[in-house]
Amino acid sequence: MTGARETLGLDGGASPSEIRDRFLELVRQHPPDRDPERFAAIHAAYKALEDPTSSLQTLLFELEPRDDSWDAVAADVRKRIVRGRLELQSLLDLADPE
Amino acid sequence: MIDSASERSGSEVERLIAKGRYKEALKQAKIAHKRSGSAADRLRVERLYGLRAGQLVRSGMLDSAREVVDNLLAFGVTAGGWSTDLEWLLVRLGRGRQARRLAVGFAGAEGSARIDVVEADWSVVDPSGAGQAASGEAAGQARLIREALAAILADEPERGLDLLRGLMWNSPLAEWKFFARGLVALRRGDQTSADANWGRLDPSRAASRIVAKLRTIAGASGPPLAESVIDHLEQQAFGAPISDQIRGIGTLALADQWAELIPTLGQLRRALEPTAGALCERLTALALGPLARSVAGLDRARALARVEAFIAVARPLAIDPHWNRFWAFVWDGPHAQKTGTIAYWGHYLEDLDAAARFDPATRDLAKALVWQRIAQGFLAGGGQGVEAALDCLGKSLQLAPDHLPCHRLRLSILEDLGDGARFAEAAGRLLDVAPNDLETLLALVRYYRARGEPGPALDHLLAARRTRPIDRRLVELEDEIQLELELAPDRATLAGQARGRS
Repeated sequence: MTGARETLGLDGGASPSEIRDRFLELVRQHPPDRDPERFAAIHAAYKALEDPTSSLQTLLFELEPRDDSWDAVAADVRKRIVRGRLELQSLLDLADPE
Repeated sequence: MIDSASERSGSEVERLIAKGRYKEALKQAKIAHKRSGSAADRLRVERLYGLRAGQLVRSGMLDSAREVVDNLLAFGVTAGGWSTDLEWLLVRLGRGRQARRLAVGFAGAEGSARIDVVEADWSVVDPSGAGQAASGEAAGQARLIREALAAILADEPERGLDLLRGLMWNSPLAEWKFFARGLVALRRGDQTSADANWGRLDPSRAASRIVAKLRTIAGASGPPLAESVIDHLEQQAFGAPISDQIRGIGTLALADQWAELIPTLGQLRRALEPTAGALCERLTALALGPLARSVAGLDRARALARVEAFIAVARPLAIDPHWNRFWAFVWDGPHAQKTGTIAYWGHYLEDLDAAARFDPATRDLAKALVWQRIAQGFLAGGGQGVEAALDCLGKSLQLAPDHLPCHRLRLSILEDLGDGARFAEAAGRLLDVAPNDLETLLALVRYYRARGEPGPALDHLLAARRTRPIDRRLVELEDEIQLELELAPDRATLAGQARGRS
């Protein structure tokens, strides 16, 4: 899968052990508690490369995502607030003690 | 008795603080202090003046907040009640002179320098208000920092960081360089670099306070933050307070309230699409399962109308750009439009041809799986569909010759049909892919025994026994076949050969 290999930064000839080593290296760089979005992408890419048929079966024939929820999307929206069109003063107002 | 009363009163005050009812807590704490005169009760009063003033500031009631800090200054601040939050608040409310006097009293020249830094930070945060007290040099640097941060927020990160190059590292405001670098990193999704820069901030400074709140917003641990503040920021970032709306449509999906859900989803898509298209796709993906279940209970016309209304507002999935896959699922339900389902999977094969997401090998495997799905659709129709199913399975195997489930399905159909020649050919192809496939070997044993050919049956049984050497069922089966061979005099030679092989 092109996307999965790109996500893990691998070329087409990577062996299963190289794929696993790269996955573990990336997980160390992007642990789920600090970088959950990136971790989820890395994990999904690894699963896709580890068992492409099963991963494709799930992708094509299961309507309900297994690893997602409305709350998870809402939480990711909040993580992206700082990437949105924020006004300077609203950001700086966060300096006030709660 | 007095101690016990004081403890009870203290607990009551702490309970009110925990609920954010600072005004009542302050009143109670003052009564308790008047009664006991204890140092602990005094500290509690000082702390509550600060908490109440902060609360008023957050509500935008600055005059009332000033009144509260003036009352605190009149009450007196002890060393135990002096904190970085209080320094910050006093300068914020225009009481910098009094703050400096107290800071010098508690920490001498160091305290005074500390107030300089607080005033400099305020010149960044609120130059026309509390920041006016900062020195001319600090005010100039603060203007630069604000301009840089505004550029970063306007998606001009290079210009923003460039503006800060002139800010010397020995400036009290150099701290904001780390803040700006972290902000740039976070906006481009590099959390590691953001953490590295923000990890260098002084926790008592304004930039660090902002970072702590951003972490709270992002769901990491941090200081509590009013939902109204987060809603306000979401409003700016996306044009609407959308995380609540997202949770809301989750509830609507559970309650099968599609008349309300569909327009809300449309609003969310408009808000998210420009900056976070992938999130729109996740919303679609989450809604598809409940939608398919929902339309299964409707008559065909209403089901069609609901799906079309949904499709009109939702962002299609990258793997299903024309909704053919979803329509196939919809018509695979109780509406039992098997021919419709098959037609949509057929259209979906064309969509897969254009899917940029897959490399050629993955695309072939995806198409093979869809052909297999179509075959299952024909099989569900029964009758003449069996030949169509076999045709689809043939196409599937052309695309993915090693896909065992497809081989197995084809084999079981041919075995049920009793089509000996095609069965043997299909079994042979399967064994080319998986030579030790026990079920296929045993199917061939059955096939040759039914044809009265114990020789080839024994060959396949022996292959099966090599994969399961101690399986008693296979040992017994071998005995039966050996007997068949011996009972057939014209095949005695074959039996001898078979014994030699075993």
